[in-house]
Amino acid sequence: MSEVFRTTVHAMAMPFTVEIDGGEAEACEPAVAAFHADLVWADEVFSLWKDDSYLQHLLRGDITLDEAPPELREVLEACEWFREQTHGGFDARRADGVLDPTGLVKGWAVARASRHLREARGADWMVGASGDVLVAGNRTRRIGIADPRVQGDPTGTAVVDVVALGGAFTALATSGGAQVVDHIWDPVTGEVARHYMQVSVAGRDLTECDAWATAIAGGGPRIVPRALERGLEVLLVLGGRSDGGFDAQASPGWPSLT
Amino acid sequence: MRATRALLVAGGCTAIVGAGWVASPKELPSLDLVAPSSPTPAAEAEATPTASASTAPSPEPAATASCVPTDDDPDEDDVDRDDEDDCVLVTPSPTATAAASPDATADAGADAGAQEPATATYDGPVVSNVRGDYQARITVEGGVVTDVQAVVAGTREGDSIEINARAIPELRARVLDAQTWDVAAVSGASFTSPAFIESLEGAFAQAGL
Repeated sequence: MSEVFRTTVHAMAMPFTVEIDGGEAEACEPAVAAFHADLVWADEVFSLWKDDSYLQHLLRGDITLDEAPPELREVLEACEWFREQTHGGFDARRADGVLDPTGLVKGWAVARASRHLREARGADWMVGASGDVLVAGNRTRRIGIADPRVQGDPTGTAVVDVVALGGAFTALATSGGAQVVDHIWDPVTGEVARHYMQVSVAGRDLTECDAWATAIAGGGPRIVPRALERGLEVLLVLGGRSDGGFDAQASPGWPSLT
Repeated sequence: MRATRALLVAGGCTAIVGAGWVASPKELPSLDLVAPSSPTPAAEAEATPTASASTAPSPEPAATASCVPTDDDPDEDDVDRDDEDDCVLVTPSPTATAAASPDATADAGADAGAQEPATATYDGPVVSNVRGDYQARITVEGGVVTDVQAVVAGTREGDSIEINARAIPELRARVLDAQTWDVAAVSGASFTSPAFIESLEGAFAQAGL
């Protein structure tokens, strides 16, 4: 492998690391800029933390869905689709009635923005999307699963498992862990979800992996078989052990390298 | 519509028969073996080294044939049963499983390890909870747990039949330890950009907060 173009952009208050194999800066920089612009745009449409996002305007009734960018409808419909697919495990409707597609937006936005990387000639690339990973190309990459106790950016920290990404599995999403405490709710009980300490899902589509990781974290064990039926593989960290290790469960096809 | 209804009835029947099959006590034979051996741990501890000593010189460690000579030990009657259990484990097959008590199999496994790569299976006790009886079986290879299976898992309670039928065969128990590996990236829960936090702190500072 010759050179790797590597850079990090920030959007949605999260870092997105892009690596393009053998890419020359002249070709990569515009592609990454376009990738970045897509993410920033997605934040402007979907952010619940920005009062002037389209989603906030929609929730306040200032605009109708038809007046918003069609992608807003697309994502909200995707939320509904995943709610059915996950048998209610993923549910963007919060108990207070607010539609919160946040659990889907990052994966969706990265999957959408990555079209620019596909156009950048570099056949092999990887996006580290604040804990979610998407790869393309022929090369298999070793991706770590974060220690759920680690706060902040897990890059460079000890990991609890290593999986092969590239080939059969190109997307990996993880939910739960120590990052944002109690931000996932169980759609059935409405309570904060504490089924698993951490949920990782490997598949081919980052939006799908992201949604299912959130669904399993929120809905618990009953959702797991549905994910496996979809051809996804999961690693579920159940809890910590006194010796510092973790009890976990993995589906038979989980692409572990350890 | 009539055809649809017939199809539904047929499907329902299949589901009921299937549920019955799931609930049927397929693994019960191993339970029978576990139960009687547990009350005599002392006898097993005594008997095991004898049994292994007599099986060790056997030139062909193939299958259970090597177990036959062990009967010449002038031991009590119940020890013979333990001998049989141990012999099954002494066979070098990596998939050898024996539903003996954990103590007895552990000893036999250690003895077998002296001549063969130590691969042994151990059955845990049958544990009951509201969902039914559960028994775990682990495979140990060279002191490392390489497999965990549920040999008994389930209940007839309608709700958990489905849970067990789906979940038990599909997931493997694993124990994870945080280690430093060479990886290209790390997947974890979403985290806020350190730069964003830094910027936020700067903003707070500027605001005099």
